[in-house]
Amino acid sequence: MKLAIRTEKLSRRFGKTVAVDRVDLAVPEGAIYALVGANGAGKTTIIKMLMNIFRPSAGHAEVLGVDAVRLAGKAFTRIGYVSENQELPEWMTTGAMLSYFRSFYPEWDPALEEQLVRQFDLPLNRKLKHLSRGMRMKAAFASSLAYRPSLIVLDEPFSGLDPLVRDELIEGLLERAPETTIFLSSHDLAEIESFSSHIGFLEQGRLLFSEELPTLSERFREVTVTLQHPSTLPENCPASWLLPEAADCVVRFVHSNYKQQATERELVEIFPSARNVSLDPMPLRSIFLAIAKSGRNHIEPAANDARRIKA
Amino acid sequence: MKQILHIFVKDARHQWLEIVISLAVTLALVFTCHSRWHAEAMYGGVVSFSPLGLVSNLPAFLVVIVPLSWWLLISPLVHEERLVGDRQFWITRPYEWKKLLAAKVLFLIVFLYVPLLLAQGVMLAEAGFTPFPSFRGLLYDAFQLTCILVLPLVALATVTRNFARMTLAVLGAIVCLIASVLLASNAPPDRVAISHGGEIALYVVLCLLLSVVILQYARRNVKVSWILLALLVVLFGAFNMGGTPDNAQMVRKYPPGQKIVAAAQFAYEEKEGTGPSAFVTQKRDWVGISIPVLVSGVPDRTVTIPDFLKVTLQTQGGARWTSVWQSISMNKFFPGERVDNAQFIMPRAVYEDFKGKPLNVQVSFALTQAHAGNQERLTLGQDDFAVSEVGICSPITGFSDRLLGEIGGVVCRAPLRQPELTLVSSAWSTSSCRGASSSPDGSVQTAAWIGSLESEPADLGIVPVAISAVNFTNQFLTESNRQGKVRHLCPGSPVTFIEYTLTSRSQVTFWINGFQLPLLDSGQLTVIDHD
Repeated sequence: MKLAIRTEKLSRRFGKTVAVDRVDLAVPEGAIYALVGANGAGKTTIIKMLMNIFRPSAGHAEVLGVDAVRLAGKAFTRIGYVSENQELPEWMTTGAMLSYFRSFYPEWDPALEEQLVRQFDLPLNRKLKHLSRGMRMKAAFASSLAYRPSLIVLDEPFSGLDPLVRDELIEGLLERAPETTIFLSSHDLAEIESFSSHIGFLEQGRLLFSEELPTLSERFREVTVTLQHPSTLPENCPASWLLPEAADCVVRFVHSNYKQQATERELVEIFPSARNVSLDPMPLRSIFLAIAKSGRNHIEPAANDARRIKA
Repeated sequence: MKQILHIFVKDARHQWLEIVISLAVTLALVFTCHSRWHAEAMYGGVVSFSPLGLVSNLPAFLVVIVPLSWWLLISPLVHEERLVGDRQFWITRPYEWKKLLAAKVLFLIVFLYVPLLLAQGVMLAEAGFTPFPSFRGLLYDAFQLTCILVLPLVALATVTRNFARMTLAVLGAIVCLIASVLLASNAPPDRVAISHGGEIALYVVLCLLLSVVILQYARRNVKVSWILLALLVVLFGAFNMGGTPDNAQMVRKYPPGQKIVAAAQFAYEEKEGTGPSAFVTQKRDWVGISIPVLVSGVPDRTVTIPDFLKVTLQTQGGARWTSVWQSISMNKFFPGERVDNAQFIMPRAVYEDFKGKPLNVQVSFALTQAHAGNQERLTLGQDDFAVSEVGICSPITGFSDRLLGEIGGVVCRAPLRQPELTLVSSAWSTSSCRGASSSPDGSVQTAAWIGSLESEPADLGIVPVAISAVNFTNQFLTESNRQGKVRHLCPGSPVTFIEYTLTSRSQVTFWINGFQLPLLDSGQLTVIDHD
């Protein structure tokens, strides 16, 4: 499997603060990889290291086969980068900006540019500084998609946008998906879930897991065990149980390593007197919250669990 | 090349207003600079508050405004693709840093250097000089302006986010410069500018500033760039503090034993009324000593100029004090004999220690010798006159001078730099020019030096015309020979220009045995003026 992005023990410190801690990433070509995590988890820092905006404090990253610290000049003709807080040449009109960028890219497709302008309803004669945030984002997207990049890197691209603009951008993005790799960061899980193929979860600079979305959805179950008598949590809960709680006759937890037969066996062993066991699939948002909460309550164990889960 | 032009065109389109302002200010300077020369000729450079006086002062004002307009040009040029921060659009686009830098350089060439060069050419033509022979000098001037003005502004722009931050950085730099000058004023008074210090400083400044600019464009390493700029400030402070040229430097620049120079004899001359003296300097822990020196044997058609002095004092008991090479201001010596005072300073503690003891004194002079070259003899009139190797000279004919039918003095302008060292001589008339005699009596000779022996092709400046005022000696009568109040320079007076060219430099030494340090004139404060 060819990788569009690969990192090895990628780390970045800002003074004494560790923003990114030994992150190993592998993003296959053609994937739509979503890097999720709470604010301050280190998503933007990773993306900036991938784009050679920040230099790693340790570790290594490769983007489209190029060492990230050597990423410059022509290498960016194959990469489209859009960030929520990226500055644009605001004194230019949208048309002038597209025209200005055009000559930097040998693969710039004027027909695609025209299509994107139509699709995003971009006003070509208005200066960027006079556009709304959504329109500016659309202009940034158009200027980053029109040359058919091999890799599109998006840093919180939909943050603060209204749903209509968000849908327009996702639609425009997905039209390019068959011919490119998309790597994006977000904390808006609902939208990610709808189109991502891979997901990586970042917590306090550490990558807790990185896998295909269907596998992840398959692995997490919200477990509710109804017992015959009021009971407490069993001693030595398995590490794969997140946020376990007991109330009266009900024990609830999130199983992070669900495998149908093995899990059923495990539950029978631990709760032999269970009246009812329900194993409900979880939306990505619930998985994210479960991991995030368990991480905040018990950072070390959660991280260790996650490593075990990964292993 | 395509990318360079593409970025250049974008910048030119974006910065049209700044370009227009910069060109307008430069044009205004071109159109007004001749009024300054006119005022120099009218009033000898004294600016009055008359309309003409104010207009004549405009170029001096515009000379400050032009660099400010460059600042307005450079800041947005660099900040358009700013090098500080992590959100700029261009850092994730296929910009190649060398091409980006080349585009910025091209912009500066087209909108700063070429207009400046053209403006300087026009100013030279307006001053009466042909611009083309001065092209090399204009390029050298552009190089100096780059080191002193343009490159510092570019470097500060590369390490700042925007115009406001750059302004703060520029103000910070100015504060640092003032602080280093203030510190330098507290340096020991025997320190002088390091020999060739200016030249070395220029190259050090150039290298450090270029490093900052290249480092920023290649790596955007703001921290290291600021460290380099801080180093520059420290070095500037060190250069400002001065130093003392060491023996090796002096031997290199003034090799001992050069025959022509060594022909000049320097000897201690103690006669009644011309003995040594001691005086208090501005710094009270230093004492100045003045010793009379007889200079003779200066070869024909040459002038000998003492530049530095070094003194070693030794007591009979073996105690010894040697000064550093100190710069001195003495007369220039022609063939024939002449006595002049050589002054040096020494720490008061040493003075007190050596006072009253017989001393053996070794006095060494570092000398420059120049040879008389072209000589041009002219007659002063009311109009400008050209002097080869000097430039164009104007008799000062202000309102009162015209009324009295006199010439107030002479001002010369030269292309790019001060002329070669030139002796200008004339003759005063002791009676008024409108007196009984229509022709000047020429009874009192007068002379003045203009120019220098320095060999740089151009002085630093935006206006490429150097003005030299000829300050004739002996204009005012002394008490002892009072016959009238002032002498007069009348139309028709002869004026002679003798150009001197550097022949060689060398050192001469003489001894004074049994010398005693003179007693200090208590309370007398003398300021030694080293120029």
